[in-house]
Amino acid sequence: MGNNLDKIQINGLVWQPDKNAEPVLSDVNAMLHSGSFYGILGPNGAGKSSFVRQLLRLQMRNSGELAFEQNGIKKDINSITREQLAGMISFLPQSIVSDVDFTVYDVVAMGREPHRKRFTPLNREDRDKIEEAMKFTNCYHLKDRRIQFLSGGERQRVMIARTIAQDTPWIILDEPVSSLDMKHQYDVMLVLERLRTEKEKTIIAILHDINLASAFCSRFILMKEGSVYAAGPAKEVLTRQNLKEVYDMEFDFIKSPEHDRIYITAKYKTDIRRNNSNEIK
Amino acid sequence: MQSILHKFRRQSVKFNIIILSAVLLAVIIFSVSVGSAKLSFAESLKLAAAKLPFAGRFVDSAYLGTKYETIVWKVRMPRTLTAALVGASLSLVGAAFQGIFRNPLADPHILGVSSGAAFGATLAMLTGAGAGFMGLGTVGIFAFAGALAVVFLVYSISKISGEISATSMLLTGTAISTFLSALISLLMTFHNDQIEKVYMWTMGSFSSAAWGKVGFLTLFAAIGAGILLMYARKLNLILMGDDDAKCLGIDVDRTRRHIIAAASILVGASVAVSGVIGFAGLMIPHCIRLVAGADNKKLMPYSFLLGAIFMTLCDVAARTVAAPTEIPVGIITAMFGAPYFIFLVLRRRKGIVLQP
Repeated sequence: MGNNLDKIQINGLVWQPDKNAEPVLSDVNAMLHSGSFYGILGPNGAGKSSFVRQLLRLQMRNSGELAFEQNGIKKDINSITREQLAGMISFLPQSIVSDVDFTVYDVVAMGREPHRKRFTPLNREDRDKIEEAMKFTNCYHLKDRRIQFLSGGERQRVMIARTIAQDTPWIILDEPVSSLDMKHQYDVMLVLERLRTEKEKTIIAILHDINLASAFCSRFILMKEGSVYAAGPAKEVLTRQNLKEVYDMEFDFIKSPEHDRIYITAKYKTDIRRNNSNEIK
Repeated sequence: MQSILHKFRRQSVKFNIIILSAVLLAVIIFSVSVGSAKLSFAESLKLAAAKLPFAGRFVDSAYLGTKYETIVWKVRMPRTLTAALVGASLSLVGAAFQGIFRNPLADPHILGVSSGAAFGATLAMLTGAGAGFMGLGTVGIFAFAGALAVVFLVYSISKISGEISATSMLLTGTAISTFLSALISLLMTFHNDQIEKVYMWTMGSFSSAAWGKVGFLTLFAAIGAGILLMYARKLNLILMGDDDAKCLGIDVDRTRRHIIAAASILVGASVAVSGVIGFAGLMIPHCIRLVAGADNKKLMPYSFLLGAIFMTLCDVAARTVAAPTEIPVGIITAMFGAPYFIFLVLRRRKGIVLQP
């Protein structure tokens, strides 16, 4: 069984953490194709993280279908071993353990685990892939530093390097930019964009910034209350009506005077006038 | 000192293992030369070398007489090796447990293994049942059985709630441990003539060491340590979080199960031979982490060797400091360990130590 993965098909997926709780995923339907850059959007509690965790089998499901398709053959995710799964999809979780005294190199090298045999040290290919991954995200100069002393932006580049070293066709990232400033958000998104174009990776990222997502993603999945509200290209998904329904607030669509681009921003209804004008000059 | 530690961090694993092994060997020779019958380091070395299968022919130790040979070979050597093996086992398990539970306070006794052993030993002492197995007396056998039974119980109980989480195991272990301690106290109130015996046993001592027990320990230590060292790399991944390890292809539950089983064999065998010795298993891995980092490929073998060195020296102190009275070695490890541990906790603010 190769590592290539053409499609992931999700039908009527339901997951409730325990019997008495409300379902977190109530009825998820989606089709993910290789080669796209998916942006998953939606308010807190819409089930975005739970949804991607299903794709990695980090959670059980109560009902519904979740199948991987390779070369026209469909397989339920539960019939795929952990090792095989680790060869197809790599994952950058929302919060990463950062208080462990490992060097950056050690952490990136962990990405090679699915390719390594027991007891064998890193071989030539492993070391090449690790170095290449670190150079790709511009963190090779940090290789001997300890991860607990890195800044947020550096750490995120290291963790993305690890997913690259894992060398899987699909990469899933849970809020990869949420804790970063605007410049570092942009840098990380550029790396993801290059992963798609230069290395033909399929990227699935949970994002909160609608404008950042619309600048980089090719497909959008808008979630609300445990199911997919809308999915497809920007002009079908990121509409005024959809956003209003999903986020329960009004949005402004502003055309950039310089580029052929529309920026979407929430309408803030504040009547409070502070002493000093807070207009941006 | 600082520069030596710095070098230690940068040296290859093999080099450091050779250095630590050499130190351990020297400490063992030192240990067998210390006691009421005085021997020099060189004389002990000769007596030890004379027993080597081939090189022994070239060493002349006959002039020292059979009395010294008996003291070194029948008394001090088995005792020293027992101390070394117990120290090594407890420290290795400490490192493994701190990693697998991602908890800097985890020590070899945290799952209640030692309470199980103490309960088994108490039962044996009170009933006075007689049996022997692999150089262990009844007390040892009961202790070993009690240790393994408790781990099995803790594991089974935490499994009831579905997925086995580190937290549920730690809480169950603590609960069972407390329960068994209460049970031991209850048994002792009805048999107060045995209180001293039970109490001394729980403090830990190597005074009853013999070659039979060394054989028993070596066997189980080899199996347990072998399995734990095999899992060093996977344990590194688990340290980054369960989900992370799963996404890198690790079967986390199975790995955790195997590590706990191997660790329990090590702790059970140690406790059965020497009683409950605290602090070494908690402290040694933290000392190593301070200089060598959290990588289990280094942490585990280094802890194993440093644990052996530390415990051998503690035993030397236990039998010489107040000679001819012998202090239970558990008291020595705690008295050295506790102040050092407080020092580590204070260093923690600098963000260097006390990570799992």
